[in-house]
Amino acid sequence: MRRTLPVILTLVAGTLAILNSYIIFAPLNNWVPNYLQRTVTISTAWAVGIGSLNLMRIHSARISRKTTNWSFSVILIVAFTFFLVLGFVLEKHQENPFYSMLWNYVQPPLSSTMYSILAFYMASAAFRAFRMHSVDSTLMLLSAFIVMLGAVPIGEMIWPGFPVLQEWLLNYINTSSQRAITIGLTLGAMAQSMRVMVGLERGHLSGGE
Amino acid sequence: MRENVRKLLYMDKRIVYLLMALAIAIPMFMPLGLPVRIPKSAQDFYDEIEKLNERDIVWIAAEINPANQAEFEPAIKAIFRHCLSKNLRIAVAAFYPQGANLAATWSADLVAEFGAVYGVDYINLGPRPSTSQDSIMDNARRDIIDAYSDRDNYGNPLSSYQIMADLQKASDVSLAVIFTQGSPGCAEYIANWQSTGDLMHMITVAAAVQIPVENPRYQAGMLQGMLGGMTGGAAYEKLIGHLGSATKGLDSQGLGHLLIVVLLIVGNACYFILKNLDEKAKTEAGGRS
Amino acid sequence: MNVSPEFIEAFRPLGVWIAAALTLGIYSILWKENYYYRVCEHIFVGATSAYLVVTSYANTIKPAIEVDMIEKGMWWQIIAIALGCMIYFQPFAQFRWLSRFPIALWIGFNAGFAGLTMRTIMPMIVSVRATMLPLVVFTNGTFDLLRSFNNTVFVLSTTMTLLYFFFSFEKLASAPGVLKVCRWVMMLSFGVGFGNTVMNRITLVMGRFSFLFSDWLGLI
Repeated sequence: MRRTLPVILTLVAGTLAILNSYIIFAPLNNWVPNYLQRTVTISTAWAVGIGSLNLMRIHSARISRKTTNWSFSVILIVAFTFFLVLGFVLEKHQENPFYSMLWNYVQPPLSSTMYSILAFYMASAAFRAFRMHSVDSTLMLLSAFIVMLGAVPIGEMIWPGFPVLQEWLLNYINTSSQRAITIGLTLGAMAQSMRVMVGLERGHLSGGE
Repeated sequence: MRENVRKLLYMDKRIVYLLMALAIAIPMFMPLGLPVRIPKSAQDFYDEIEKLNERDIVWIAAEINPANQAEFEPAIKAIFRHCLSKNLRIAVAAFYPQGANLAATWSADLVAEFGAVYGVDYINLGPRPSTSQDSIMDNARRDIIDAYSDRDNYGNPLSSYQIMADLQKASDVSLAVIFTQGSPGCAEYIANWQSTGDLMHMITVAAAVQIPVENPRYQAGMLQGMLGGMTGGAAYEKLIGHLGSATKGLDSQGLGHLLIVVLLIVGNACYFILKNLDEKAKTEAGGRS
Repeated sequence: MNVSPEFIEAFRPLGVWIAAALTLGIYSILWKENYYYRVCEHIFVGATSAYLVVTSYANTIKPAIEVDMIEKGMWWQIIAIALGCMIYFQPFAQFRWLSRFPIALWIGFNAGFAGLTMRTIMPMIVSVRATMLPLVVFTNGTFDLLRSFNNTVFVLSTTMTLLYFFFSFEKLASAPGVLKVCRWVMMLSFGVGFGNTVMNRITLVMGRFSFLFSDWLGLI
């Protein structure tokens, strides 16, 4: 029962969603968006805290067991608690200048900087790791050269053909390839959705008894 | 020679980091001022906004992560400038948690400059961070106020604002400008609003990493215009006649790209020279023995 | 808690220094692994996690309660709230089975809603239609070599990429040279992706350097 009922629920919810799209029947077309769809929206909104809950559990366990570098877990929990309490205590935190002030000088700089260090790692990888071992890798690096130089004015200054080649690669080779991959992914997603609905895929229901 | 090539190839990676830092920093102090090329996708982006009539509503899907500030901030400012100068109305919404607030922060100066009134000329519907964005968008297709629970970004009733009288459902929007760096992005808007026939006109500001993914949609006609990365932003700034940080950043971008290309060439050259020398040494050693 | 604009303005230099310190803390990893970087990293994770919870509450949960339940009287939404809260049983082994119900609902509904309706099918049909380009193009009565060549390359590339992942006919897939050419086309495409990724990352560095040199140090 504990496994069967969720499988039945998956099938029923999915079938109703599909039927609502393909059948014009007023009670169905009224019930699915206003009740079923809204239930999904609201329940997922309430579930957003599970990630944070797990995060706090893991780091609290590290602190209580005093594992290696447990002091960093203290910092994480303090930062989490500080912004959480501040966000709930301050009325309308979105337009509260105090919250915005604190937030804008902490999270956006950290987020931007985290992603930006990848540029340095890419430069290092370009020098030490990317090798033209084969025809495949040579073609890949060649098209990367053309795109990198064609996209910026300095490349056009070096040779006016770079932007032309870059656009050709983007509009014809890349677009066609990406389109084929997208078509394949879409067909795969449709097949997978069907498998999930009929209960052939139950990975999302694993765990527990 | 073998030792020198080996030393070069295996030099401290912090030297490479320093070279990258210099390549990006130097043009900030010594700009090259190279001309900006306008790709067709950027021209189409500009033309789509130019085609709109006064008081038409533009929906800005601010799916913005603070990490992409350098790419998206110039574009948001240019779009607000373009739209407000044409007396268009703007509705900002997002599924990314920080998107709507970032759009509000970056456009604050523009709004003040043009004297735009909140609730009349523009509105911020706020973020709806959720894994069920398809459901929210489907609801917004029929009733935007209900989909956003009659609350704007600041917790005030949406129905009390003048602009919402003309913004009841997705088909009331004349053009959607979708900022995209992955998911959620263009795919969700095309699936939920364009596939149903509610809103056919969509243009995108794509992070550079997303250009290969969005270009097929632009080619297929699902998107009528595209700004790609900072180069797209610089082209758009040139088109609206107001140069900003995107144009200033192109020189650093160019030098950074050039450095990566040089590192690729030098790294591969050193690798093959070393490989050649090592093979020769092995052959000579084998011959002697 | 409301603060005066004068306080905000007075706090600004301190705020810029905090942002600069955090930025340099993250960049310190490029020198070597250190405590300073780890502190900044953990602040980032904690703050982002809290912001997501606060924003979800303020923008989705609170309006749903205030407007839908209290103003409009839609009290049945308590069922939805209960379903959403059942996910919180997941960390507890004894009650983990309860968390399967909301997951089943979300996965099932979205599989049907987004996976098997026009939302997925329409974009694919439009894409396929856009791939069907004329291979022989005449412009103003004369044969247009460039457009014909480009269209042919386009259609062939799409077909070759689809062929690479088509495993249903073994003999076709193992024909000599076919897969190799398909792979070459894909490699050119992946190179474009790599080039654009480099562009994106360099732009991010520029943004941070612009903040450090302009807002923090005031050099530009």
